[in-house]
Amino acid sequence: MKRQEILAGCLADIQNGKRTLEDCISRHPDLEKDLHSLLKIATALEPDTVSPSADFKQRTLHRLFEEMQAPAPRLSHRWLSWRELTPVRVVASVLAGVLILGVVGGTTLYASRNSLPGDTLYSVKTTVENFQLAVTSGTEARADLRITLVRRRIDEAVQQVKKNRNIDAQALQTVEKQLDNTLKELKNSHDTKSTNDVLSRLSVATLNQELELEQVIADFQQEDQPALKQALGVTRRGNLIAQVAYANHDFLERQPSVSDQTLEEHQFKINGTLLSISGRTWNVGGVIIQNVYLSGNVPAIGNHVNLEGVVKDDEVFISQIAVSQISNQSTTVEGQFGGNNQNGTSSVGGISVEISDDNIAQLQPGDEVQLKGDHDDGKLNVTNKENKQDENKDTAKLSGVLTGVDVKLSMITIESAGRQISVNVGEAQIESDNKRNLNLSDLNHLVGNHSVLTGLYKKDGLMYAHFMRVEIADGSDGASGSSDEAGNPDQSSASDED
Amino acid sequence: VPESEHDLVQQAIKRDRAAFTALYERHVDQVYRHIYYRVFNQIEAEDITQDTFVKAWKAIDNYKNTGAPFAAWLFIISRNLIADHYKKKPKHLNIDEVPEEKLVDPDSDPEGMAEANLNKELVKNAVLKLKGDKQQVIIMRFIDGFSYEEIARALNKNEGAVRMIQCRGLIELRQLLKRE
Repeated sequence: MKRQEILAGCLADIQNGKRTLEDCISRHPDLEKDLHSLLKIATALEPDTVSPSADFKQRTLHRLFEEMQAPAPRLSHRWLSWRELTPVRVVASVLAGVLILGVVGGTTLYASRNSLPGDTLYSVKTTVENFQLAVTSGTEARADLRITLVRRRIDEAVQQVKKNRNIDAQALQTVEKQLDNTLKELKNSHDTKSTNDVLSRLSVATLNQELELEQVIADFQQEDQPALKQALGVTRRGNLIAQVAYANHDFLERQPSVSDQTLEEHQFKINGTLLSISGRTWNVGGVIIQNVYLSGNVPAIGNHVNLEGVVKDDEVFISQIAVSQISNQSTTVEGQFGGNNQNGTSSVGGISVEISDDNIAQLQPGDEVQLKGDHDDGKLNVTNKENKQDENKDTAKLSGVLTGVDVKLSMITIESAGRQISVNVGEAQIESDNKRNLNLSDLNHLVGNHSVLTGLYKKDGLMYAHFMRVEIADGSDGASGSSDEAGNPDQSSASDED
Repeated sequence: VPESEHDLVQQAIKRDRAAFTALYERHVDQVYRHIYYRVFNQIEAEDITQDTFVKAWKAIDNYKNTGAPFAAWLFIISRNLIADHYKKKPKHLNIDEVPEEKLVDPDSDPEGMAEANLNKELVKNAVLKLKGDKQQVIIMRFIDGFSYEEIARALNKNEGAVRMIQCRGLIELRQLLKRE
């Protein structure tokens, strides 16, 4: 056997664990130097520790969907297996297919892809889309198709603005219907992983659409354009619903709608000691919260918890929970002030809070407030009220766990609804929730903490933020022991894409 | 229960978009890393990754199950796209870009090299100078983590041939590293 063949065999056997380096050398001592040097090189061959960004993956998915909608290279291609075809679908598919292909032909179909509302071919485009919806089977595939259609409507509106054309409000209004239908289909799905995958994609897609709409509204002075503003609100709520539903499937069961504006008003944050749990009623630092729904482990009584969630129809859905064993008597409640209730309590972020002082008149419904106080005899004794109006309130928001920091590139990575999203925070004001200013290198010690980015915008395909707040659950400036993952045990399954 | 890769591929061949999307979700990270290793540039890696999946969708009818993982087929598609990419422009990474202190002693012998602390970027740069199957096998084996059997099936060779190509690839890498 030739020397090189022996060498190749030794290398392969060592890598496969069939023989050790010593075995090979004892049998072929003349190969010792070669084996040492080649194995050294082999061990220096490592994959790069890089991952494609969530934004890129989403863009690629969109391009794939576009390609998939192009005329199929073979006539025999089909979306449904015959077993899946119900008689109604068969008739609808055949009729629609015959009608579309017979009337307009493949070339026209292809040409219609880039048409805008008002163009001659636009009706062909929407007819094809309806046909696709009729013949696409499977919750995930249908939901993905709907997400694609939402993106398409918003892209069209953006194109219309850029071309100085009138926006077709009717076309843009279908965004609401498609998003709600997506949520309805997910509600009926029994496949948790698929549901989470779609919610994850929906979260990223709606965030991108929100940013695009904000950008075009700002760049082309479209602040008074109601259709665009409505679409912006719809995508923002779509993002909120996707985020909450990803963390808490009970929320999806209640069939939230992107047209429900109270969802934005009923977002809350509560930071306090978990004093008691009785059924679905929690006492967190003196704030009594009823009808609480949480996916995952319920924290132990006595822990300091940082809750975030949404109230819908008097039910409270927790989307994020951080737990700290560090004792802290103070309680904070944050959200939009909704006014006083008939029973004497006040509504903050949809949560009823008993406020014991007489300064409540200073707050106006719609104000973003933070109440701070101590729990006394199971009730919250408010000692400080703060109006938290900020200039970034009405801009796109991204919240999630800080998973990575690259000081050199001024980039951070946030895990949100199972996706890793990179954001440049080089120009951002960064602070902790106790208002201590932080710099990028401080963030290295805060990986794992929940963070909120506001004032998001996109430039050259990259996402930037004007403001970043890192939550430090123990109230100190350090990051040690500040939080754990107790509240979201399902997250790993959704982020595991293999 | 997630569908098997084989089932997904069979469905994708029948132009099932959901199945192909699932394959995309499964393999996009791996394909991106494979391409990034070769082009060492985020934007170009993204472009080529995207083109790889689009091309895969268009050509899925031609997919033949050789027993190799589906990812190997995607890598073969990406290889052609990367080749086109390099035809259009020179390689980005240059040996001169590696900091001097990280270079291996040019006078070192194979034994000395075994003791040297090989710089990963330097080795990578040398890998990118390998030609044809040698580069493909080295990357599929060490970067993508395929077995000899899987590489053999993907490249339509026998395992012995793959072992030889790997050995020759490593020897050439050693020469390149010494030369530099």
